[in-house]
Amino acid sequence: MKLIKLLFIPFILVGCWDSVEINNRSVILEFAIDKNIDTMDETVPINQRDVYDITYSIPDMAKMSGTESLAKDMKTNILVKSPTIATSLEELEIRTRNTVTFSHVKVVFLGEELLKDPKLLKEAIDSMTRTRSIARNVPMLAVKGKTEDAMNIENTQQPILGLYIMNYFNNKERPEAYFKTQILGNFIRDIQDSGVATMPIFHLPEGGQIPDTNKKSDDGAEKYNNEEEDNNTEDNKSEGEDSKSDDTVGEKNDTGFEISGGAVIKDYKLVDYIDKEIVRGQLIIDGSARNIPVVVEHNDNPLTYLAKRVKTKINFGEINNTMHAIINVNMIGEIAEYTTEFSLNEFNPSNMEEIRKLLSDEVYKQIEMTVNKAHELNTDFLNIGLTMYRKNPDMWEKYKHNWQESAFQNMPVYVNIDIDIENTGILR
Amino acid sequence: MYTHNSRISMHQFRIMLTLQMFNMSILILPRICSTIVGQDGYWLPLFGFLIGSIYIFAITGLTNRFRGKSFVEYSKIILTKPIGILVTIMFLVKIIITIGFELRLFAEMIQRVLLPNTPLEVIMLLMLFATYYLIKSGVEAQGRMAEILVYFIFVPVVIVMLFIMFKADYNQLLPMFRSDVNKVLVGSFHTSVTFMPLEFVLVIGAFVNRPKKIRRCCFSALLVITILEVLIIILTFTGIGTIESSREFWPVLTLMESIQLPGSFIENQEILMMGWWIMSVFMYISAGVYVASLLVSQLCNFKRENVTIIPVIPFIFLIAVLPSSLLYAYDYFLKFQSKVGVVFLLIIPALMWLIAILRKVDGKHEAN
Repeated sequence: MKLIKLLFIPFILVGCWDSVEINNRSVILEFAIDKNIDTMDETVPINQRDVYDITYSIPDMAKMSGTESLAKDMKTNILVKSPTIATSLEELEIRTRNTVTFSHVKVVFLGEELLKDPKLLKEAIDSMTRTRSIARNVPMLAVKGKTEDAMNIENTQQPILGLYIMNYFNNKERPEAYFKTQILGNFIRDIQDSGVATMPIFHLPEGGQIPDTNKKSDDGAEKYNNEEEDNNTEDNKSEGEDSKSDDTVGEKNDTGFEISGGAVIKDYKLVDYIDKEIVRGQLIIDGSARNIPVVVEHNDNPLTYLAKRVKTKINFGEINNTMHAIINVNMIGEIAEYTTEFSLNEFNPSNMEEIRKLLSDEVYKQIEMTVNKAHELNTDFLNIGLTMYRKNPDMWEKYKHNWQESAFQNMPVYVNIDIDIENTGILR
Repeated sequence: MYTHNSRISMHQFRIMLTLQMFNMSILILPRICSTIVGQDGYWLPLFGFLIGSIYIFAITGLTNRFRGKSFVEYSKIILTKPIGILVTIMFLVKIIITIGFELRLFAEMIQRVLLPNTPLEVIMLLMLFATYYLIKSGVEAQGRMAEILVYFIFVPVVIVMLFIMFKADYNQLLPMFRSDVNKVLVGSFHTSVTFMPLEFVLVIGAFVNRPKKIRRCCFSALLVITILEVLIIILTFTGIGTIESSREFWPVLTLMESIQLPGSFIENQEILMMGWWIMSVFMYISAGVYVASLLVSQLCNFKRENVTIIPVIPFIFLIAVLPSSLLYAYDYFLKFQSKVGVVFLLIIPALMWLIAILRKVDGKHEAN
């Protein structure tokens, strides 16, 4: 009897239902979502309209680990058109030998057209978070163009884009100077708190087209591979036009892409792109800037100051019933580059004062440019309103009702900058 | 060593109570607090501590008066036999329902995070059988298990919390003290109901070796849990925001998922953290099943206490499978806790204590 009981026990052990052979799973490392810009038949019901273009990149683990494999390439990109993200999995899994898992997704790419459609973007974010399919600490990148082009880029440093992005963002030594990292959880939180969020831009390579072939199968799904084509190309990715033309050229481009600047999203809709100079100002105002180079001209020579860290505080005031914001910036760094003459004692106290003034003016211009851009877009991506709500809730009560319409746009912003020069390197 | 004398030390008692209060309610507490008072939610456990102190006084006031006697015995003494039996049955039903809902929520969470294809019933039955194996050996086994598990549960939790603390954006907690006083009172009450395992003291209090120190142990367990609740709520709000906390079923789970460990060499770390949580919920369910089986065996005057464990398990299982989905289970759990939770935390113990004082009965002098 005891033996029978012992033999029976394994059948009720929970591993039976959820045991999965690791070889039967494909691990999706990068996830690219875009809007299908093909003309939609409006008579088709919503649940049957293929509004999404989702590109799944399925790596071959054996090839990645350097062992022998029958697979032709290290990764296979599969483009799926579907009405929802959940149904796209069904389309995907009928074309792959393995089932897929999102538990190790390293990056989420969002296409330009998707970012311009607030309803669709909201649905995409909901889909990613509702079933916990994508972790909340996964970085998000806005692609200036189509995401399938981003997925088809050949990178000689690291062929798997997801792993490249993972190493890129995990490198804590990297300066925080040209983009503001955005992860899925923080994006949701920022949108909920203030309605505004930014995410770094993944710029597609210019001049050489992505080498790919566009083969339509009978059932409408499109499969891309990484073979070169001897076709002419035109560079239309930055305008977000359809890059799946038949006359693409096969010019390979290694690391032609860059991650910099930011896409400003307001109420789930893309407002505009901001370049890395504007983002730099944003990082300074945020207080999260690190290792920012500031270059000024001093005595006909360029002088580079490396700001190691920034402390920023935003205060608010009211004069004659008009509110204003004062941004107090304290920058701490060192002089990284400047050509001095042997005989001259360049870095004496009076010179240092002059250098600090020059640096201060340069940083002021940077911040002013960023604030002006925010005013121009009438989008508070600097979180000044959120700061007012947190620190001066009574003042916020007075201005919150028209903050988005006019209060923010018309609000004067004053900047005080304090530059600390810790050292001049090992040279005087 | 207290071998086979059905006695646990005060150290074991304190740890058991702490682990029992560290249950599924903690996972959903940030949601409750953010829904009621927004970013001021982390203050609610502190006010809840004050209410919890009242619970402790009511419960320990009663148990101190009847040291060494179980709930079944002194309820008969205070309220007369028929009413005492009725109150005991009510207590039994209440515990079975509470443990059933707790088990259901636990199984739902396991299914979401760890075992998506495993039937809920299998998860629940395995948990129940595991608890049976622990509690069939009596309260001493539970005490010893608690002493071992406390390190496996709290040490990793503290390490993870320390890790999150240094990277948290504490501006998420601002502005402070903007909530309505009425909402704070309501929220504090809801938070205090998470201290429901204190009602087990009515039964387990008979097995401690130094009954005079029960009150002190209860307070220290309550303090530890209050501090943990405050920290968890703060970290949840700073990690995922107050609005998202109020939307999620288990905001603490989402917080664990959003942690970025350096180097990315460990991913899906929330699965590891859930493993520690399972142990804590195991202790709570064990205690609930033990108390329920003990009440049955004492009501029926069985000499051996562990014969009633197996009969109690199907009832708990039936309650657990009753809700048709997570949505209903969650709803029933919260409503039951808020409406019935305080009955055996405060109302019944306080009434019984008062009646005992008025009738001048205690453990030494029973009424004629």
